[in-house]
Amino acid sequence: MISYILGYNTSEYVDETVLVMLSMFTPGRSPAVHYDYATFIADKIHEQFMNMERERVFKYTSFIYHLILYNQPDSFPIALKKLDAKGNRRSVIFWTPVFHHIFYSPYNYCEFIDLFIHPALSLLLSSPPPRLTDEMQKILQLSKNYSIGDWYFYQDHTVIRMYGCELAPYRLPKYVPMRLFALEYFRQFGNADMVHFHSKNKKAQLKIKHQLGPFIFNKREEAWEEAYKILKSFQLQTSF
Amino acid sequence: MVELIELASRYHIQVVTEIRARHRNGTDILRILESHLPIYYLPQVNVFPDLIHQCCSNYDPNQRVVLSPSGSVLFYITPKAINQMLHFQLAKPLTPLSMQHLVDQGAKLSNAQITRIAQLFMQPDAQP
Repeated sequence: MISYILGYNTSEYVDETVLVMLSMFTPGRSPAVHYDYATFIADKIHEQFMNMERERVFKYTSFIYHLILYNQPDSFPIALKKLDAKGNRRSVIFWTPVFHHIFYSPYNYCEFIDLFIHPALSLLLSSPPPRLTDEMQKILQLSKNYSIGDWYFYQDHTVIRMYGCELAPYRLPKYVPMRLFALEYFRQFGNADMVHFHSKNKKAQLKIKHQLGPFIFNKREEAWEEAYKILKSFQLQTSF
Repeated sequence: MVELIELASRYHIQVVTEIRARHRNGTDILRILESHLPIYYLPQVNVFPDLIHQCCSNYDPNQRVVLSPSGSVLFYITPKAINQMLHFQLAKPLTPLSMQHLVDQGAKLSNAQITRIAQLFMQPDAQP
């Protein structure tokens, strides 16, 4: 709890700063000091935003999600439990588990993207992100003569298919963010390359993008494996 | 102490709810709820860095606010805004907290204090 508030990544990280925090507790007595956590956290967020370009570190994602939800509740197409059983307003942490990272969440990863991330990005951008951006469509079909795949818009999900891939494609969210598109692109492209070229002792013939969205890779096999692992962690369903 | 370890392994909201229940029935021996820590212990969330980067791009550091492209206020990043969403009401003046303060205080911790903290929070076989 202390590590989390101080912005440490792991609860096992114990140093003098955590010991000082723990020193406020004595059994049977009120804590020796009452710290101003809100100011500490607000200052930390400010500081990390100001240094984001250089340090690329941000430790208070949960606070940002909850602040967006609390201040713009009508922008999200989800049921919010703002009141408790007695009709009193509740802390925002009890409103919805839509973005909570728990294995027994009632919302899956695609719903997290479609019900929270997409509406939140729509508030921050001048127009809502499309289901598949022009850039993604161009990657799949640059021209009639150079097309490497297709996309399919279903009512609640999106599928991309790379020609030659023998894996079942994942059901991506209705609104596909670049980071998911990139991972699925690497996974399917990797499979097509392995099945039709690498495994037949032919040099890889397919020209793959080496930088897509936030991902850069040097070695094909490692990138494909990594993309597969990350996508697996999202527990997406396959389309067949 | 064992109870604290069991508590720490549970899901955030369960932890907060349980600490609150213990406070109400008088079994919160360490008075954890009174420290206000559980109020700021938010649930772990799915990470999606693009959203954070976009908030950062729309951030006005002078007003400490994240704005929409049209300039309207989406949300403030201030102590007041954080306390409001967590329903924390200031009852009495609070002690300012900073990493520097903790580092300074940490340098002054005596061996006896460290031993006391270890006895209180660490399992017997892990105590120094």
